[in-house]
Amino acid sequence: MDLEKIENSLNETFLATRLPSGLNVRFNPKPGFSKTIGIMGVRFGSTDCVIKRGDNGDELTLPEGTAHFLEHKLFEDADGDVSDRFAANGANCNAGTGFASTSYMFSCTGKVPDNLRLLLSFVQNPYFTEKLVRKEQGIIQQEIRMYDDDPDWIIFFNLMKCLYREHPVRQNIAGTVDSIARITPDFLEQCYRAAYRPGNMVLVLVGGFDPEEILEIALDDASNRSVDKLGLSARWSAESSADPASSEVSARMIVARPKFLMGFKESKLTADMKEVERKEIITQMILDIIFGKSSPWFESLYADELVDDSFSASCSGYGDFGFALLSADTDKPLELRDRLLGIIEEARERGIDSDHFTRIRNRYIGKYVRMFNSIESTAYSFLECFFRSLYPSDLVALIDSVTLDDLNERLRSHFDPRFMALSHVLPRDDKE
Amino acid sequence: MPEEHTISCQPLETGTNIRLFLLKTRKFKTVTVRVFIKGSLADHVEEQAILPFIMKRGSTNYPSMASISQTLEFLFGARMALDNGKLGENQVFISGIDMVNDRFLPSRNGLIRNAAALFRDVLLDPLNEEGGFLPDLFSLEKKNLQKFIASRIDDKITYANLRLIREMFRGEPFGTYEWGEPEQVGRLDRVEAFDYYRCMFESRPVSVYIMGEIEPDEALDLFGFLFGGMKRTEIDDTAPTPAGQPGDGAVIEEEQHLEQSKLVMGFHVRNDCDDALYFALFLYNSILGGGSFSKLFKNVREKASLAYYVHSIYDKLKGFLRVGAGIHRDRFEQARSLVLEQMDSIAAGDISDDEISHARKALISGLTAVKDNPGQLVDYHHLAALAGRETDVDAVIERIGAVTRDQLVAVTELVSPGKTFFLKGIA
Repeated sequence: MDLEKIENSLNETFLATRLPSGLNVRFNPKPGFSKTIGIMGVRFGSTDCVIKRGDNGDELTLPEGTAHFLEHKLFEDADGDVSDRFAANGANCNAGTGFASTSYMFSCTGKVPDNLRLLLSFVQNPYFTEKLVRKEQGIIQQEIRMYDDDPDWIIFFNLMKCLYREHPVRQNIAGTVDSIARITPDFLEQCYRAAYRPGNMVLVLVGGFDPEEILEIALDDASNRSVDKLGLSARWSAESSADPASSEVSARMIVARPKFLMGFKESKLTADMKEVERKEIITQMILDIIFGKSSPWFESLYADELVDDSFSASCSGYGDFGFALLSADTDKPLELRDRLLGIIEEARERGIDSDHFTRIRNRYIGKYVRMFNSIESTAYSFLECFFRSLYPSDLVALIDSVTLDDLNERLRSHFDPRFMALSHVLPRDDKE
Repeated sequence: MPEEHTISCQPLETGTNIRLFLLKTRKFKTVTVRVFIKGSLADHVEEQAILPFIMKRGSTNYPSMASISQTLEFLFGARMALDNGKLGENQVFISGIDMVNDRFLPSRNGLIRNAAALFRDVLLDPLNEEGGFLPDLFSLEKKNLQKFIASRIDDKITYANLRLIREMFRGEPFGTYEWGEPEQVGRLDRVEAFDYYRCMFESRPVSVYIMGEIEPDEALDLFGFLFGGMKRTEIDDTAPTPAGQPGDGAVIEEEQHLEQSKLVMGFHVRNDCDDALYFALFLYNSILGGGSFSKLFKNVREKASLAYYVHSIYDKLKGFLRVGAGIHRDRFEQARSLVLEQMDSIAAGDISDDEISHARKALISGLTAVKDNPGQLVDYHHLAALAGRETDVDAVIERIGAVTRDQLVAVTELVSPGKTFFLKGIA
């Protein structure tokens, strides 16, 4: 079996293939580097809260936090904690659960073949027992309580509950103390079978390794797995209404000053994942041009003491949901809201400045080249690109394809006050 | 291409009292310049802390944040850093710029020189008038620094760590928060602050690191362009002496309305030992709480199910070890005694071969990986030079490889209780 070479202008070797089991493979060998990162990514995240089970295809609704619980639990099997086996090879391992995917990662500076075999094995051989599930409940409970004290976490999920009526992006990724108490080995098992299929996963390796040797190991492993013809699993469908569920929410916590988060709900959803990526680039460019440090508008907000360095503007896009966020610590949240909406309105009327657009495009191209300095960023970019049917090398062409008209059209359609909601965290009155 | 595997840190003679180091490599797609100026935590803390806030606002040729950012955008997203850090007893002014090496860009356009021009102007010619920083700008940034300091309380882990350090090193320079105290910031004067800025650039020790696909003569040229016009006097390297007061493990408790309580235990570490023990302390910390293989993780998290996070952090410059865990408020005693039990077990030599070998491999792997990360590599060299010990990554790896079980037991004698801080969550 041969690896397909993906063309690029960076002097990098990008290789891709699909194994007979259905598992997708992406390699970026980097001679001269000592470190290697390996990631198994699964298209299964916290928003995948309904699964089809067995052959009859009836639906099972999962308790909030199941995907994340499953991620924790795969680290342990009959022989104990998998991290010990990575540690014995001098490797470090970690995992993360997002809205739409879960990833398992190792990083090492030697014994790549052994670490890869271990990764392939622990992600594909689940082991769930009552006792281990109970132990994990104690640990995850403390993890949830840690997030409960994190104002940035609270303000974000409060906003999601404002923007969305029923979409599971409203749910806490880690779940709640009550919801994780309902998780059983049987739930985990069914969930695992539905989502952790080779065709629903990708293997990414970036760093100092020999691609031929690594491919052999992956092929050998694949020959022991049943062939999965299903491909990527289906997703939650989008909400019928683009209007937010409610317009504003606030919570009180121990913070120095009020925290402010303004969100715009995505109104133009598409299942074309390349288009999702392109839309995300366009939206982020708009945010950088209007609210970045190079913007005169930002400078005026700064001079008027409405924002400081804590201000940020970002966006996230998925097939079935998406949002743009403006976030700040500010003493004057209401004044800031009015000014931000005023600036957006002004920008929508005036349109984007073309010189600024050119500069931002330069910056995005530089950012893209720089990404390949970092093994971590490169590996995660391969992962995200896979879920969007892309290679990282396609990103420059996507950036190049964006026009000033795209920005202006998107500015008018997406940044509509109708799709906006606000979340606040205010200081508790009784703080010391 | 063997040269790609070792990146040596080569000192270059500048003919000035500024130290210049070149890390020549083809490994990265960027060129990085980092400038470190060593201040002291004993005085002028607020004057130095406010400099990154002031300097990012503009310079004579780039008179606003917008003009600086627009230039960075134009230079294909070059990045500039201005920061303030606490490294041992030192308050360090940290600055840098990095840009994409233009051979990876559609058109080669003198990117490095243009980026250097911006950096030079921001560092050496910040906006000023009548011998001081601009009045309005200065008073706004005083407020911003005060707000930044106040926001410490938002992140509970950081807050608990800072409280511990303040209690444990009360009256010592190390106990000083590197961003200063709000009241002192309020008293800052724009003329005095500008005087301090000038004095810092003229007389404090300055180290410059340049990394990328650059030849020594090009590096000297770039250095000359950046700092050739800088006026320097004799170096003033008065470093505060640490008091080294013994602690007693006393518990300081604070209550807040929180779901999770934070336990932080501080320990003094006598790090003026010989090299063998100095590097054994790294391994000691790794075994105790340096990862999922560590005694703390295994016993406090995995066995007792008490915490989601539990770890130990060792500050090799100060000789300070800190154990942190997020726990339920009622589990304070249980967690604290479990932590002490783990430390006692190392002192008793109760360390398995696996524990040693896993921790050793993790440390070595971490050090090896430093060589693959441009930002980390420069900071690593700067920190090792400050510590005055071995700076070569491979030599340090060799040292870690040679640490024995007896040395691990021996270093426990160097570790003594400081203070414990408990941020207790109440409903």
